[in-house]
Amino acid sequence: MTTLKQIAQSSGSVQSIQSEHWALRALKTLGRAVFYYVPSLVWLLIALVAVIWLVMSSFKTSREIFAGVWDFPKSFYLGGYIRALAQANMARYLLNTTMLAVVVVGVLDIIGAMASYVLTRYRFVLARPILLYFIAGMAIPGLLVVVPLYLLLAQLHLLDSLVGLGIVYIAVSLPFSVFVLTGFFRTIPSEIADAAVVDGASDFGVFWRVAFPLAMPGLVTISIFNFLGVWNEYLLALMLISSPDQTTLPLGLAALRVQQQMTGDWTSMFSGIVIAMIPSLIIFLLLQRRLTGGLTTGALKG
Amino acid sequence: MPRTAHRPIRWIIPVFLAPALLFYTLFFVYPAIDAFRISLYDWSGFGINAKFIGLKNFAEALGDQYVRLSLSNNLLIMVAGGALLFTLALYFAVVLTTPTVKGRGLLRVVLFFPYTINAVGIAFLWLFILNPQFGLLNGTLDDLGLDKLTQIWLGTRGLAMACIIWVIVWMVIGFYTILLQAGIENIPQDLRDAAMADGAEGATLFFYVTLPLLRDVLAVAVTYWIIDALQVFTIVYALTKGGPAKGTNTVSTYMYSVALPQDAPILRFGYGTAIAVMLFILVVVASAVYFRLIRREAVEF
Repeated sequence: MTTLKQIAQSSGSVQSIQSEHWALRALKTLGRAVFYYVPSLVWLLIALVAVIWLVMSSFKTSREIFAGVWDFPKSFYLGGYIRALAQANMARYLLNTTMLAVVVVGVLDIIGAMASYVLTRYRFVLARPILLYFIAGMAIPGLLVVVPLYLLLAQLHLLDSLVGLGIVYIAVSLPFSVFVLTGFFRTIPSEIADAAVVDGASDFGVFWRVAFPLAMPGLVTISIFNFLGVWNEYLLALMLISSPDQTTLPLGLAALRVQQQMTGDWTSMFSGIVIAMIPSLIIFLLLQRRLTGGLTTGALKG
Repeated sequence: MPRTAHRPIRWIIPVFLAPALLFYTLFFVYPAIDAFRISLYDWSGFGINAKFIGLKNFAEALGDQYVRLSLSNNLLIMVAGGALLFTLALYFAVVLTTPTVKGRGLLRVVLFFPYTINAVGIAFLWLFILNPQFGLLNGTLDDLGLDKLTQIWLGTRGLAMACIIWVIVWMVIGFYTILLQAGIENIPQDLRDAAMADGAEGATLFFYVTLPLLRDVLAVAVTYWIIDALQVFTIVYALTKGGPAKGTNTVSTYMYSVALPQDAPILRFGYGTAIAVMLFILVVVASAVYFRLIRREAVEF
């Protein structure tokens, strides 16, 4: 370390760069490589090791799991996956969650776009207050509404139902969706819509045929976020759902864990985690750029 | 999209606003307001038992040692986790914005993917990695002959909190790195070029040019972190359920265990909601105060 420091100091002196000793330059390059690559490689290694171990363990029998952490599975044992999907209902939870996510995303795209469009295109007294009213919801934590929602849904006979949970997910996702979509609608030049009006399109026609298609990038962004939101949400589902046939994936995984603790069936637990991770991993890898791009526009323009 | 000329009645305005307003008001705003009313009741969740008790729930919460313990855990996550998180996120943001570094795309994927997958799944993955009997961590330490270092990782409060902080940081680091990366990319290249022409490089460039110009984005990111850290629920609940001996509860998990206890027949909706209201007020005040403190004239490029 001391030599590095001395070298760094001497390199800062007036002596010209060309006369730097080759060893000095090599050391500098090495130092730079260590700084930029070593922590990144460590991080890569942690993620890789964790995921590989998870997948490996999901193909082991319970006995093999206890035998040695780095032993390769002897006979790609599929019992864990079969039990997780069939007995532990993971197939059902996957189906429930997918249907719920698709409906919630679809409804949010449509009603979110309708509201955002009106709020940005028309000048009326309440436009700004209503926009602020929507965006203020981003500050409300889920914890605050769990008990009131439990009581409200109980009154409406929507407790312990995917319909009730879906309605709640739509409501709590609206602030973010409207926030992002109004941002997108603002970037569409009004001349395009005005031209359609001149061509005789009605207010509704302008929306469906002109504005809605032009807002597609924004719709894709909120769709991804809302989909992942539904896919991963835990607190509200935990509070509002209790029966297995209405259960979503995070809850199902937690139920699988309770079951596995009683039976000692570790393999199916590992398999369950893999099953729960795969769909969001695929979405992530396919839509990575769009996801991170949408995230920075959403999070920083506030 | 700016506005067109005024016409008598634009039916599209109420028709298009109604569905969103209805959903949002009825199922989000109304419950949020209702929380303040419920917090004033001694209420087990079923109409007949509701009894108005004024601010007694709040008085009880202020004297509840577990509320204080939970809050101190939130603050520990916020401060210790925040120090770790922002050191790493700043570092990775610099790496991701250095054009000569190879494999930045891969690094981005590795940093960000935990943020998108099931938080319960992540917590269980780490629960197994940390498992004392067959876990990856102890097993690997054993294989390396370092068996003296093996631990019952979630067995004591201190170690369990350290593990919780690690898992949270591992999960959210991609989000914060990408925010800071966008911030660095927004700094005009000629500012950095000018500094480099003056001989600044490496650490000097980072501490005297990049970091000061990143101040506003960093402030936004820290505000997000304060809000997140005060509300942590899923990772803690899935990793430790608040144990051992309620020692790792956060305010959220404690509130949940009070409102809907798994081990006792008494629901305490009023008391739990009072805790949630206090947390909400704390989140609003903390983020407002923080934002006030760091506010100054924005740097214009």
